[in-house]
Amino acid sequence: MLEPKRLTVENDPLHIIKTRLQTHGRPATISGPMVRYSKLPFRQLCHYYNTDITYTPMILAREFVRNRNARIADFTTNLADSPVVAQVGVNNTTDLLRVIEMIGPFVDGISVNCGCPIKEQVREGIGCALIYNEDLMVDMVKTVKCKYGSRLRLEMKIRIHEHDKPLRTLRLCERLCDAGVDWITVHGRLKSTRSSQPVDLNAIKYIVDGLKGKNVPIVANGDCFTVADMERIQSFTGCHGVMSARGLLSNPALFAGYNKCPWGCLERFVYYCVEIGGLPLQLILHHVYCMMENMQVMRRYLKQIMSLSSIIDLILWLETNFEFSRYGEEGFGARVDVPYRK
Amino acid sequence: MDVDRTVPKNVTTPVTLNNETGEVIVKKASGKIKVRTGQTVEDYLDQRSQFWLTDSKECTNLNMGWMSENFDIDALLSSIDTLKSSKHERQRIIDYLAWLFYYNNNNNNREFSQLITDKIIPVFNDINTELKGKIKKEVTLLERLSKLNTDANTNNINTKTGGNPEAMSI
Repeated sequence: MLEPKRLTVENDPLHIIKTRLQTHGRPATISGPMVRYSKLPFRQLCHYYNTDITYTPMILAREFVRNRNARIADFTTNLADSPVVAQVGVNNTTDLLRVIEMIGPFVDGISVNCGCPIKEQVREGIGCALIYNEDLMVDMVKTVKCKYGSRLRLEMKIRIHEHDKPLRTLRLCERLCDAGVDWITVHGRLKSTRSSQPVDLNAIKYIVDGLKGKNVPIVANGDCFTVADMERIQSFTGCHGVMSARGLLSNPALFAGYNKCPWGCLERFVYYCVEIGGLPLQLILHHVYCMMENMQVMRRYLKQIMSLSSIIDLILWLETNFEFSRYGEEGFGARVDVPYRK
Repeated sequence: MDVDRTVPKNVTTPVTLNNETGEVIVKKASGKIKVRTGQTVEDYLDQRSQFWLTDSKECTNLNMGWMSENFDIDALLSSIDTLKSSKHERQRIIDYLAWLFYYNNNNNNREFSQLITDKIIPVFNDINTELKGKIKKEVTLLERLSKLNTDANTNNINTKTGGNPEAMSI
C-alpha cells in the first residue's frame, strides 16, 4: 500500500504559500492548470524560472481510475517536477478518494477543479458547476481530510458567484475552511466571464478579508502577466500566492522578472521536450507559437510554426532562421533577444 | 444576511446513487437524466495495482537523461502488438529519434538514418499493412527523417504545405 508523498518544507505547497511573503518578500508564485498545456516539460520550464508551485492539467478522475490509456496520456512526472499539484475534475467523492489514493504518492498536493467553465464539464457537474453544489464540495473536503489529515494537501480552486462582494462565495469558503481545506485559489471571474474581461480583484480582496480569522491562505488567480502584476495583485488583495496561467503560457519566465519571454526560455523548452518526450507535436508547436508571439517575432515566422510536421523539423527550422543553441552548446539558454539569422 | 443559492439553469447537480462504486446521476439542465456507471471495488483495485506496480514506473521516472539510460529501442520494436494498438508507443519511437537527432549536431550520422531505414521503417510498414494504411503518415514521416543526413546540408525542412525548402526560406 503506497502512502501520499512525504511533505517537507521543500515540497509542501501549503508551507510554501504560507511563508513566501516572509522568506522571499513576495507571494508564492504558481503556474495554473491549463487544459492540455501544463504538461511535464512546461512545468519543469516554469520551475526553472522561479515558479514555486506548478499544477498538472485537469485530470478527469472518472477516466484516470478506470482507464490505463487516460493515465498514460494525462500524467507524467519526474524528480525535478516538485512541488506539483495534481488537478482533478470530479463530480463525486468516491472517484475523488480513488484518484487521490492512486496519484497521491507521486504528487505534492491535490486540487479539485471547481472553476473550469467548459460546458462539457459543467454538464457533468464538474468544474465550476461545483461552486453551485456547495454541500458536495464540503463533503469532498471533509471526507478527504478525515482520511488523510495533514499527510495530504487539498486545495479547492473556485470561481466567484458574483462580482464585487460575493457573499455566497465567502460563505462557501468559510465552510471549506471549517471542513479542513488547506488553501483556496480564487479565480476572480464568474462562470460566464470571458478571459478578455478584467479579473475582479475587489471580489478576491473581499474573500481574503472575510477569511482573516481562518488561517487558510488564499491564492489569487487571473490577469497576472508580469512581476508588476503579481505585486499589484498581492498588495491590493492581501493574498498569499498569485497564480498565472495565460501569462506563463506566453512567457514561462515571467516570475523570473522577464516582461517578455527570453529566447533562452524557448531553447530550454525544446531541450526539455526532447529529453522528457511524450508531448504531442501540436502542443509543442502551440507552446513555441505562444512564446514567439510574446517575443514579438516577425509575423511571417509565426505563420510557419504550426505547419511543421515533427519536432526534428522544428529544431531545423529554428536553426535555419535563428541562432538557436542546443543544450551543451555555447550560449544555450542565455540569450534574451530574438537572434534572427542575418 | 441570507445568501442567494440559485443554481443557474445550465448547471448540472450530480446525485450519487452508490457510494461504493461512484455511480452518479447527472441531471442535465434540459431535465434529461443520465446515469454514469460506477466502478466496482475489484476493478478499482486492479487498476490501482496496475498503476502502482507497472505504469507508474514509466510515467513517474522521466528524469533528464532517462532516454540514454533506459530506452530500449529493440525491445520496443519487437513488441509488434503493442505498437499496433498504441499510438503512444509509436510516438515514443519518434521521440527517441528526436532525442538522437538533438544530440547529433552535425546531422550527418549514418547510424541515425540506418536505424530508421533498417529497423524502424520495416516494422512500421508491416503495421501499416495490417492496419490497412492507417499509419501511413507516420511511415511517410519516418521515410523523410531517414533522408535527413543526406539532405541536412540543404536544410530541407518539410511542412504540411509541401516541404519545399525554397518555400520556407525567408
